Amino acid sequence: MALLAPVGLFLLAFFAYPMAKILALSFSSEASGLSLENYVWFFETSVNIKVLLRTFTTAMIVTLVCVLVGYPYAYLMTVVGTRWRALLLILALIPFWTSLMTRNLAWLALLQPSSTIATITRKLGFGELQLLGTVAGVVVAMSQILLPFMVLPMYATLRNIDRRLLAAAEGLGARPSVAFVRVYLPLSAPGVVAGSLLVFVLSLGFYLTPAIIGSPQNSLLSQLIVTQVSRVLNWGHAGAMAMVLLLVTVVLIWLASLATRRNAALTSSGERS
Amino acid sequence: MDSRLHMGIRSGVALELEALHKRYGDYVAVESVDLRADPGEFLTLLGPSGSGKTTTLNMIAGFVTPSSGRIQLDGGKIDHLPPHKRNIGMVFQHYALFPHMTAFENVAFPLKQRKCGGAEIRTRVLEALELVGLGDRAHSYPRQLSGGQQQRVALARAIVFRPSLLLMDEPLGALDRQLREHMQMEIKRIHVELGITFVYVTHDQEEALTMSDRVAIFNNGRIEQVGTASDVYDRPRTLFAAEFLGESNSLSVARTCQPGIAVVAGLDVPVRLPEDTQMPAGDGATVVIRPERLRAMPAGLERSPGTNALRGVVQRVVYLGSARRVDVEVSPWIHLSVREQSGMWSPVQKGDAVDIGWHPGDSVLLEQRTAPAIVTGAA
Amino acid sequence: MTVAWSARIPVMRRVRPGRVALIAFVVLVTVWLLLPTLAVIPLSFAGAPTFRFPPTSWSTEWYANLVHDGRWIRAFVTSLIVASLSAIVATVLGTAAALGMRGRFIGRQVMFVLLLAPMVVPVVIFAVAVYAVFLPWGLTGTLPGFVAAHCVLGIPFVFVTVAAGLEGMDPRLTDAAASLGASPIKAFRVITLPLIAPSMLTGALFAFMASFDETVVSIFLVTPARRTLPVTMYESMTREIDPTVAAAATVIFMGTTLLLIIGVLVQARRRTSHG
Repeated sequence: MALLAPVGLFLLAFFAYPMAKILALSFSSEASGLSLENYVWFFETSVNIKVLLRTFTTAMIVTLVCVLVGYPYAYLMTVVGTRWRALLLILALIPFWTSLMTRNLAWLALLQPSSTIATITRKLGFGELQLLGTVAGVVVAMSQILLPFMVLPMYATLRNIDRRLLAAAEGLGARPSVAFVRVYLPLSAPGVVAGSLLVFVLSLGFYLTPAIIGSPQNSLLSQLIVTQVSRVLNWGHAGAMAMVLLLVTVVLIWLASLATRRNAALTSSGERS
Repeated sequence: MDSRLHMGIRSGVALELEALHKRYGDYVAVESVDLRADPGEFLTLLGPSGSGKTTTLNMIAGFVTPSSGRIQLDGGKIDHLPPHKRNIGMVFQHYALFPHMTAFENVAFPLKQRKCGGAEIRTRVLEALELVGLGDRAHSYPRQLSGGQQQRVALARAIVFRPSLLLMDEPLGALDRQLREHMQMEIKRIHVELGITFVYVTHDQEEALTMSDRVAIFNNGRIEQVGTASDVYDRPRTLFAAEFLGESNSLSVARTCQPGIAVVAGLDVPVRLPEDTQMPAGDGATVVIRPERLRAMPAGLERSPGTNALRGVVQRVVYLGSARRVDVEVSPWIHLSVREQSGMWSPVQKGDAVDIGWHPGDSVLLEQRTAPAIVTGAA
Repeated sequence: MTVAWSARIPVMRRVRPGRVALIAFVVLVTVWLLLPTLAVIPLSFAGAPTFRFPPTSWSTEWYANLVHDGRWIRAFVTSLIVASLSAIVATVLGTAAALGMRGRFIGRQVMFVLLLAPMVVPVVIFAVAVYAVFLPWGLTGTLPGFVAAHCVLGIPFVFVTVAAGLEGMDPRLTDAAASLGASPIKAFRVITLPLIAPSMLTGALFAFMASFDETVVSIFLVTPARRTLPVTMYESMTREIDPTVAAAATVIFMGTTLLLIIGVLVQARRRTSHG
């Protein structure tokens, strides 16, 4: 108890209390004491709904990109030798040990209309591809930043799949592609779900990259919250938005923990038999 | 050479447990345990897992506080002392060697706590390592040592500070069979050399019988029987003791008509018992006989007078290497196992009608009713 | 090294030709992962004040700017102090938490949620919440304010790594130490502490990086007098086009890479010396 008291009090004061404060602010109004008016405002303002939907769409696209890129990458990690695996792991971890601001700066530069990427797309005949200040640009940068969060849980799952099962399926007459789809893919699902939820949740709350690469016209929910606090100075509105974002996040994490727990139960009973 | 003198270890002390209880909420882990270990004795606590033997050991060491009862060492109460002030040596189940210290540093640890000088530490550590035969591995880390070697370091560490009582918690459980047998002899040798009191916990009945001066059999938190190896093996006092200590045959008794005679249930055959047997007052008794005490012979041969005999059919003969087991069906609900040492096999085969005979003195009458299925005991 | 690696390639070739496409794919992903980070290096040598990549002319003026403009140096020092202090506090509190969370007790589940929640709550929300509370408390723009907020974000990292380290420790080691005559405090100092030191160090490193890199909360907490390096970078990127930020990013990149290499070398050396 003596060990937990300091850290408990610290987190209560500097984490739980501020969070409770935001919750209280979201239910307060200038006129009356307790009210739902901030939430009513949030859901009745069409811009907010548009931003909310855009935030979800962006997070979904980022997640999809990460799945499509991360799955083959994690798969390759499981089939190569130790040295190659170490190299691939280090490469996947690079974004972890480079500063977030450095990567944001790099994308800011790379996505400039006069920079390499724009030049290449122009030469390839895509015409003038506007990336800076658009959702597309934000997606490109965010997926790169979030890819490790997809690859690591995926690799953790794929690593534990018994590859002899594929051979067994082929031995039973399945074509390799069928064996992969019917045996390997379902077994890898928990890793995909875990990675996807992680990336999705992180995307929902992302602030810096959209603020730097995106534009005010294409704001995401986190930018809207900051604007309410620093420009409009409406704490009630900011609080309501924050609570909506938090609720979605917590529900998704709860679903993820349910999924992993069920899965753990499945695998452990499988091992026993 | 006598290393007891050399190491200056005084001989062991008496350990006394009085009415020891340990409860966790509603669960009773240890119930009214009374037990005494004499100075220099090798006492083994034997029982299946969850029988309370390890909890008892942990109470002696001070890691578990008894719910009630007393623990005395050399006549003095030690209940109130924290573990680090009890001066009791302990060897843990998985050795619990400090992984960041060499064998030398591990063994030196208790001496450092006792503020010994550097030169003294050096001599005593090396002596202790010599005693366990590890003098040349003093500077190895635990992970560089084999399981048996780690075991020896743990032993050296537990005795180097000259405790008068040494506790061992399943110390050989993680070793393979051959090494285990070797270490049993080693531990016995060290016990004799040091002359201190050993309390040894195991679930392996063979280990208990070969090593101990006396064995305490634990079951469901209680002690079923305490006695020398031959006491508990040849004269079990409970069905549990009989069955846990190796294979045994049990015969349900229908009634006891006269002193020294019991009638087997369902057969109406009288069985002679040892002459000094106390006859039970109520009903519900069992006769227990060890398989190696039974003799199988072709049916109809003349038998020596005064022996017991039951007739049956050989169902199965199982080859065991140094012996064989003959399983005989006496009746659909009575089966007996006969164990014959290699070279002393009777000429019976599967399917033969046989007479099973034994000396009355080899049967033990217990005032407990056995379960209906008859062949019991672990293989 | 190269020989050993090329020796592994036949192992990969053994399997189907689809692998070639897979390898090509991985090369592309690697470029995608690596290039953006490396892009800041040429950018820092740009000859003109643009973020155009690749630059068309070259100079070292942004590095000169970095050194001479006190703003960057001050921000760097502030970040270093804040990160060091919050790493220390987070390591002490997080380690105590990991030790205290062993065993079962009432309220353990609640404590667990409290310890890990800062990792889960979106940083923007935490940032706004901290701002709402620190403003009336007068903690914005102060060293304790930065340290407290960054500490909250660092504690979960320390807690998780130290808890994992404790998990790997034989729980009977402290019992063994007690049976050999060591008091509980002594046993903690000579047995537990040395054994969890590596995970504490890892946790401290995570907490340091979490603070050194932290931007969103700091954006709310900075005052003109006290700003951290990432916030300075953020402002320089959003409010002006000044390649000095690329020079700063390059210096940080080089610094962390150097630290990482040293770390790897130390680890490798320790492994060989321990046999």
